[in-house]
Amino acid sequence: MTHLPSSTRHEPPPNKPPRFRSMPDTTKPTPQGTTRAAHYAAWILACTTFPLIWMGGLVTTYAAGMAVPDWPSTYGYNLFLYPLESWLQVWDVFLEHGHRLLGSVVGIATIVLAILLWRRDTRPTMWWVAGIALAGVCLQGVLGGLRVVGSKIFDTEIAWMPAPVFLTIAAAALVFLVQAIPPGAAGRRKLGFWIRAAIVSGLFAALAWFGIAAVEDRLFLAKVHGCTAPAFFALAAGTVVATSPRWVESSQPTETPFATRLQCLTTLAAGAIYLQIILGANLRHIAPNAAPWWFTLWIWLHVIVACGIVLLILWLFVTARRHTPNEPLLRRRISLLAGLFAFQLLLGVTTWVTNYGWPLWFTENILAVEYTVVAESLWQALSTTAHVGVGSLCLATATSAALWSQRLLKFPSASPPPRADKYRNTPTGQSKRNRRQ
Amino acid sequence: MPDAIRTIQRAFLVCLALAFPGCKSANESPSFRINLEGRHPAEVSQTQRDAINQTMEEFFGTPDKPRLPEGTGLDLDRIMMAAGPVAGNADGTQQGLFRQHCATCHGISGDGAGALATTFNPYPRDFRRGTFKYTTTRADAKPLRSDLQRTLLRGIPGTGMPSFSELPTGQLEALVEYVVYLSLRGETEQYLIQLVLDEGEYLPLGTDAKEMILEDATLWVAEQWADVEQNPNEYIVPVPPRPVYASDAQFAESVARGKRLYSSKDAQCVQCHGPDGAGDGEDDEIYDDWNKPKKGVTPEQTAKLSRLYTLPIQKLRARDFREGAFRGGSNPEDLYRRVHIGIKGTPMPAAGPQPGAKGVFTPQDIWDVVNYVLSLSGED
Repeated sequence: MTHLPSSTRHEPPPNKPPRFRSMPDTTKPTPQGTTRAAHYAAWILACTTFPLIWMGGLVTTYAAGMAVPDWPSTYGYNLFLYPLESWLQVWDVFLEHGHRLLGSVVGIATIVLAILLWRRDTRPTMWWVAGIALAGVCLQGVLGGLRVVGSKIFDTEIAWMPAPVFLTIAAAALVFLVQAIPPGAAGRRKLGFWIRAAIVSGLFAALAWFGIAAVEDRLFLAKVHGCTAPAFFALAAGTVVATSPRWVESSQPTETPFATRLQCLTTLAAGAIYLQIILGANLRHIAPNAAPWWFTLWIWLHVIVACGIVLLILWLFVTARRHTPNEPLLRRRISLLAGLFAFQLLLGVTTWVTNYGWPLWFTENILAVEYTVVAESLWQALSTTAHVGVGSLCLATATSAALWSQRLLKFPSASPPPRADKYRNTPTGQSKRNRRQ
Repeated sequence: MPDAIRTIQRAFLVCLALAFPGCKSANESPSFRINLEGRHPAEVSQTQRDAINQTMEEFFGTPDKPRLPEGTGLDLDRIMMAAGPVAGNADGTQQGLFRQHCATCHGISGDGAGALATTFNPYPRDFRRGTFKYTTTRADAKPLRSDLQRTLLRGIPGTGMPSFSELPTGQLEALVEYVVYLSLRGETEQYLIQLVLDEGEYLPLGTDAKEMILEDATLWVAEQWADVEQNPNEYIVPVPPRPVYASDAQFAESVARGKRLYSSKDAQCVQCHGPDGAGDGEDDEIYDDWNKPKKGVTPEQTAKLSRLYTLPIQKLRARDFREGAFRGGSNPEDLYRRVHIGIKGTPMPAAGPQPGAKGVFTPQDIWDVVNYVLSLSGED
């Protein structure tokens, strides 16, 4: 039984010349020197995105999103030329303008990372990652801007404002296409190129349409803005993993019958945490004129999904402890995820108590507490924002664990899985999963 | 790795698909909700709704652009500061304070039916009745603006009502003024609805009808608010200094006397608060004025009535004095006022002397009862 390398889909057979211009030879692992810069850039991106999420969380906590009414300028000034004393004078302006400045740092870090990945990384998947990261950061910036400017964007005076951003997206898409297409006029005429071009153009057109269609509803934009940030952070964390020297070196996965379970559980955990983030965004950006049962619905869903994640992480933790003794890297990430989620639960309770007080059943039946909520207190702001920040960190950790479980573990080709599996044996005697690999 | 990325991409798309339905419920420019509490929607025709909404907008504007009829005496600048969407300026001045701090619980219209309302017990206050629980003014009077401001500053312990002690005074004053505006608007709307629906006023409303509404409802209610501010001594319930007890024995005597008064048939404290002040009185079916109309004789009738209201019926819980903390303030002076004035809009009656009525307790009696209540939690 022959096992093909995991990157078969993107690599030419050994006897054929390389198909892509910038992909000299992908059959060998990428030399360390070529990805190290990208790895550092990915780290810088992740390390700047995390405080940006905190800053964004503080902006929402203090309702400072509208402290600067224009965009991309700040009170008529260029973003980078707004006077320092005016910036530091008012807390809300400090938060909102600081959020924008930090956002531009993240934008620059993303551009640097994208260039490094496109030029130095030989894996086509990473070119896609670079393209998605660049599109993501542009989308996030536009969403943040539209959330502030809203329908005013169509006023003739500032109608040009989003144009540079959309042009950047279009330019990035073009660069991405040029990098990805085969060289030569004949290659460019190939149907595949046009299909790809149509898909990418359609995607950006859809994004632009989505932005315009949703622009009237700032609260909706705020929710999408709040949900895109953790996804982007997870992408940055994933890039850190995929560009790490260890990832490149780990070409021989460990065979274990629990590989599929661990891979599914880590991926499910990441998905469930993201779902939880979306529910949290709906709680945080609840419309002031929403019907009374909306909040109750979201909060119950938030609690139910939290319970589901606890069970999922416990199962994952126990499985990893028992069945992956030789994979300390993966075990560390799963342990970190468990620890972070436990902290996140504590932060969730603290956030509830500091915002809405103790529940009545608690004060009636368990402990007599006469506690007064203090609006905009330090504890309220810190716990609420930390709940947002640690939620994103949980997602990034789960993503990292999911990627490592895919990379480091493999279902054994000869032995049967631990329980009945409908895909176990195919007519060729090869498991479906192994054939995919 | 591509497998993992693809799986995560799928999960991401599923999550997005789950998140988007219902997200567009938010409205950028919310409007005031017509007060049809307790009425079957079919009772009110679209023409009647339009006439009511149009008149109310003519008088009071919209949540984004509030307006005031002449002669109400309210401060429009402060109202403007609290109204509208949340926004800030380079100099740190804030706008949209009500939407930032209050609307998610109290609702855009001040109807106490905001998005978070069902989470709390008791429900957030419905300002439209013009009744406020914790005041320093006598039972039949409107509160002072300082009473509302005190509630904002202190919060209400044990409930979702936060303390806004971190906000500057200017913002607190703006919020108080906006609450008064919503209350004035709410009471005018009640009168207008009664006129249109119950008395069958001819539609569309003419100038005479509008003037009548303005005179009989808006300006009349505004005058009550203004009168309390202009003649506070006439309305504020004085709190005599707490007696000084020379010895523990004297204090114990006052506590014993307080217990006798508390248990007396006239006072009826035991009925709700129980013989030991544990909040376990015989009468456990107590409702405030906002929930009482939802109560029917039979459970079926209650369920039927409740459906006519935005929020389901909610019972009140009598205070357990052993906890030692009180929603209207835990100082002896606060407790004196609660016994004397009662808690407006609830079954907690005014036990002190009122204009034209002797009251159940004398000021001395009230202090004895306060001493007894404080002794239950080990305080003095």
